[in-house]
Amino acid sequence: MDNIVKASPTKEFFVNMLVRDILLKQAIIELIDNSIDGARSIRENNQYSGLKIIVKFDNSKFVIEDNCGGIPLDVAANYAFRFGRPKTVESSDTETTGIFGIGMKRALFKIGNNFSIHSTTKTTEFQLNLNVKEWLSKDDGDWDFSFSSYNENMNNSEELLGTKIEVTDLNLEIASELSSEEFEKEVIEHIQRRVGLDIAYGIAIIINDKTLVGNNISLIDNEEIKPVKEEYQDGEIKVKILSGIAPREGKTYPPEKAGWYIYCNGRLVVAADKTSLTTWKDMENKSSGIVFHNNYAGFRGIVYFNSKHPEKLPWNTTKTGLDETSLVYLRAREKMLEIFKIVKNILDDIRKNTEDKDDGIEETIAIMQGTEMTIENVNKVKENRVVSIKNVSVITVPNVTINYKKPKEEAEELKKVLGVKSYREVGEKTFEYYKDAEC
Amino acid sequence: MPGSDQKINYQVRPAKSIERKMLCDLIREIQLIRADGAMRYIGLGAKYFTDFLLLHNEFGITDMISIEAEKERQIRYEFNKPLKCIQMWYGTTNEVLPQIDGFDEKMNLIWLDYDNSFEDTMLFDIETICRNLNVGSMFFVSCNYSFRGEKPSEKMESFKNNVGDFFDEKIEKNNYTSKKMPIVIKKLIDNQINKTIDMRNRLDQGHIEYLQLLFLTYKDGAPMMTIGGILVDGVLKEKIRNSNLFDKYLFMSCDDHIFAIDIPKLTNKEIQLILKNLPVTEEDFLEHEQKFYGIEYEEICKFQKIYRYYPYYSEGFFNT
Repeated sequence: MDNIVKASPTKEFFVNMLVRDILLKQAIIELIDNSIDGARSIRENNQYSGLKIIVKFDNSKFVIEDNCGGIPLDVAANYAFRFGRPKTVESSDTETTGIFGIGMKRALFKIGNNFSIHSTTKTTEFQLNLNVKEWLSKDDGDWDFSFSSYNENMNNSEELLGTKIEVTDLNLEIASELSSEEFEKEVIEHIQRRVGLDIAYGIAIIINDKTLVGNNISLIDNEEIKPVKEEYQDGEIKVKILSGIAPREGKTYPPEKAGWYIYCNGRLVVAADKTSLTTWKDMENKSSGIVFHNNYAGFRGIVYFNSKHPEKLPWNTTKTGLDETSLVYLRAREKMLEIFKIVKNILDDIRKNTEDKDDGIEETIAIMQGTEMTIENVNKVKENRVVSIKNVSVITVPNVTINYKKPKEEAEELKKVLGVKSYREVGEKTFEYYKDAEC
Repeated sequence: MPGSDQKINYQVRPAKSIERKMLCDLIREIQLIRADGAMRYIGLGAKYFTDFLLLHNEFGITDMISIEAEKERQIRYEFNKPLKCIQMWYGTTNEVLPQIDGFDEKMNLIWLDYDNSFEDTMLFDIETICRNLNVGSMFFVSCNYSFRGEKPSEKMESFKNNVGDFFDEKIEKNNYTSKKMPIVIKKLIDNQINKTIDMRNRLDQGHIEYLQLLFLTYKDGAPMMTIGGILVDGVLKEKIRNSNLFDKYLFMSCDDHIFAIDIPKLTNKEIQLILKNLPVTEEDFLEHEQKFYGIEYEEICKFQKIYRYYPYYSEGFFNT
């Protein structure tokens, strides 16, 4: 017997096991991310206007097509389809999201059994077709794919540049998901949230003929209430922490939007977190902070980690969450905890003011406009740690609460006459009526 | 039975005054060891600003922040503020401390002289401080250590109410007595300090430590305690150890040993007599007992421990 204990991976491991770690919508994002990385490499400073990513799917086919520069032939031959990132790859000069060398393959394996990739750059072009079942049936030592065709030393015109990936022979459960309207809606929302920043920079993402809109988090940012901001460099990672009060939406602060949002190179990896992953107290961690409560529905915190070395960012391999053990993240968290105290305290103050003497501060803040935290606006916010209701000059009229008891029968009668649904409204309407009639 | 002069001291908060002067001695020594002058003081000045005046006069500190919770009476604090160099920050310490920055610019001295009973909000402040202070900076916390209830179980219950999630189930009930309360509080404070600093060291691959310098109790009315120390690295720790500070100043403590500021009730004439005879050993005393006119040896010992810091007041009026 040879003194060898086999530890090498099998193809089945990649095709059948790794795909269990991601959801279909995450796989789609992964492919969109690849296109965005392309955009980053051909355009500087996030100026993406004119670039497009078009996704179409139904129960028989999944297609993604972009005009984001294409995959160079040598990159395709040596890195893009490797399982894992070879040690020798030099870091790129842009803040990309592709790093681990499994994203695209995993996404394709998740979706179907047959895929074809066609990509054109300024000077090269290739076509690669792969039937996964055939590939699996080959010898376990033979992992390589081969191009169906390729060309070098070309001079392709701008409008041809880009990549088109087509997946057919869809996996059974994927086909049914892709044909559901519910899924389409869900995936659009998911993508808008996750890559909202890039859409805001001008890249068009179109899913089944629907153009996606980017959304950024809004914070109140004016002379009186400024977001708290801290910015620092942690090794090769630039960190920005921003926190403040969200503008009120209609009559409420939707609690589901409250919490921390964390971006790694523009990709949202944590949204509206209200757990001890960030600064809140929960079952997992009782030692610091406070448990989320609707009183804090106006709280927003945003953390941006940016680096030209995406592998050093604190995200997990699916880029859908944080690597909670990352020192970069834990260092940021210590700062988030302190910043959280500042914003929590002003929210407490606002509430206390309303409960004690309602001199209109809550209402004044509630009607303040929010500023969408696009990268330009984030950069405009100055480093700041002070936010206080002391600086708010009340522009609304102070309110008082009036309480009284009346027979139910009479109140019910008034409800009908006034055409309102609650006793509270009965009180308000009768007050307004008296004032109008007598004052 | 002792007379009322044994129970009531007619002078104004002498123990607090002694504590302040001890703190000054300590700061002077640390300044010498660090050989670095610039300092910022963060405290709770109230409207008397006694500690601010003292530290300004003793050390020429001109960078001073007073945290004041009573935002509503701002005008009154501004009026009473004795020095232009004191910045007023309004809000509770929980609100204001995280807003302050610039901790790495100079040595910071923080004294949170709370007047209420120990509670969880103080631990939040300690956390903020330990996250931000640099090596060489000091902080002290004073608080009331009495808790409602006669029996230990009652005291434990009211302590638990005050500290919430920080309550340590491992501390046994029989520790919740008036006498041992400072130790219980110290345990919670130490836990919070060490937890925060351990995290800092883990994240920055640093080797910062907290070295306790003071652990005092005193009573000008309510039972109060002061605890605190300095953040050190290996080098500073060694320097402090070599300076023999803990031998030089009996009031210093780096462990569970409490120095109680216990002021014997003595008249000015008695004080003069003792001062003239210091140091008094037990032998001296027994030999010449008659020349102390009935002052007990125990009283002399107590006085001996604090005489350098004793407030030798005389009454006077300021007419302005």
